[in-house]
Amino acid sequence: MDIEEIRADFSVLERKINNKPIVYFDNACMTLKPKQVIDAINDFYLKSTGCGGRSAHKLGAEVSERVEETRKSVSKFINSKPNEVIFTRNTTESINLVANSFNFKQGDVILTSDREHNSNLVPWQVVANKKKLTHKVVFSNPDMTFNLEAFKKELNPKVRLVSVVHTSNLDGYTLPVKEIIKLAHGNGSLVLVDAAQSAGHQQVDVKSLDADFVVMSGHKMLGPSGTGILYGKQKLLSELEPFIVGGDTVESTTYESHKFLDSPKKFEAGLQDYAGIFGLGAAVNYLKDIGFDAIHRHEQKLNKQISGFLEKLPGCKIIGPDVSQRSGITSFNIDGLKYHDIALMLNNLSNVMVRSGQHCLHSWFNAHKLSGSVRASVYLYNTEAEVETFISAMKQISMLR
Amino acid sequence: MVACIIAMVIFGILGLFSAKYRPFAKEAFSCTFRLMTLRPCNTNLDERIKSSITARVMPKFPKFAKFIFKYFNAISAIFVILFFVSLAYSGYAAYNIAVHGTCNPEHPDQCMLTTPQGVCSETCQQDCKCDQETCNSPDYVACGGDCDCEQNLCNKSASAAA
Repeated sequence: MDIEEIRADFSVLERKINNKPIVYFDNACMTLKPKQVIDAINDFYLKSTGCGGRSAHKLGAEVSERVEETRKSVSKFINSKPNEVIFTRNTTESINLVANSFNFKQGDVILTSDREHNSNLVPWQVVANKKKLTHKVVFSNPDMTFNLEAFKKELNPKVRLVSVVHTSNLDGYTLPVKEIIKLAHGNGSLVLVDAAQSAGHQQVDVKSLDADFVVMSGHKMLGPSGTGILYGKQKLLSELEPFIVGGDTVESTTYESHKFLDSPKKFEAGLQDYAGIFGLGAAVNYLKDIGFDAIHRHEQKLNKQISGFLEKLPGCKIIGPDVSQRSGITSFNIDGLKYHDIALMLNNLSNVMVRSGQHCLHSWFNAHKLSGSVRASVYLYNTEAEVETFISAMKQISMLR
Repeated sequence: MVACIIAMVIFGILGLFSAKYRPFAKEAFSCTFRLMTLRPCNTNLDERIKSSITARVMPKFPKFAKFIFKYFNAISAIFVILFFVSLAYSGYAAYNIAVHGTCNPEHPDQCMLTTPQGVCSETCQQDCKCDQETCNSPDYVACGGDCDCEQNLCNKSASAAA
């Protein structure tokens, strides 16, 4: 993996603020976009603007064809069948689609972990209230790893769905999803995997995982914002009632009735974000060309450098298990300094861009009586030199205690 | 939070001349308004100002940067108090000028806004230079050193004479 060659594809990285290059360590929120993705988006607007799935003219047909090509690319990316891939706006919409389409019955139980993003918590809370379901949380071990024993204890015939994050956006810890799915299936429960932070960083093989639903966002894996993916097993998708309905979801209608198209079409209501879908396809191809082993190794190397420094920094507390169990994400706090102050100082001193706050994990922070943390997250285009810049700035900031 | 008050004044003045500062002024005003209505400020403007100042000072004066960072709220509070004290004095001076014709009624000569201008002791002749030699020393001082010759009189002595 030639980092310099990769960096050349990301024009944002050429930008300087106050004559200093930017160091983008907020990849868990949004990754940067390579020129291949931007070109693909531009392609739609400059060359192929048309209505996909409707108009028979050449431009319309071209769009339809490219959307289906992208669907195939994405399906190969996650090792599924093309018609098991539904394009959505993001992970949140994908989860909401399942939450609102799933045929829950009163008394059913939904299980989640204690470190779910609000997008994998609130939809279940809402649907539980609406349909009189029970939402239960499986709490982590003291070392912040997933508590499989506690999970086993929670499993009973009433548990209809388990919805867990694959890689946590809090600390980069990857849950033992394969074991969770095996246990859940043994109990007769279905499993939704929130792969927002894992897709694009490691191979998410839906067949190997045997997941029932997998959701992910384009903007966290080099793709455009406003693009997302919902994978569902074909049989399950055919049983789901569509959540948003209307144009392009139906085969035919009368004044009194309608007949839905098969999945995935019945879930993709209205005119789609074709430019975004083209961009998502380019992002998926870009990642496939680089390869996940190389990406994962690179992230681990950079995170060891970051965590190794932070572990020795006086007053610094890293959230989550040992770095060997985390991906490219490091959340931390420094005694005597506010997380927002640290993030602002990193930005003002050296243009190091990190996230600070509760990272849409209010439930976890509230339960642990923490008001937030600083989160540095690296990706394939970050370098060891950038980590050194971060370390140098952190050394100065830690003196402010 | 009190830094918002000072920020509102500074950015408010800067905003009169440059649109760049108007959003900051607006943000500072919103923060001040919330502060006045006993609600927490919902912007982190003060934190941004603090870190921006600290980051500028830090490379050259790390200890001073630490002092600013640590005591930013206290420093802001001092500036706010100084601002209100000087505002009160300015208001009092304006009142005195309006009522008494001088900002310091007890010692009118100490009011630099309305110091008596004095008259040059001699009328300048053609092409003269209204300098310390032609206007004698106290009057030259009274003229504030602004002794261009006009109508054969020092400017200020002319207006004072009028």
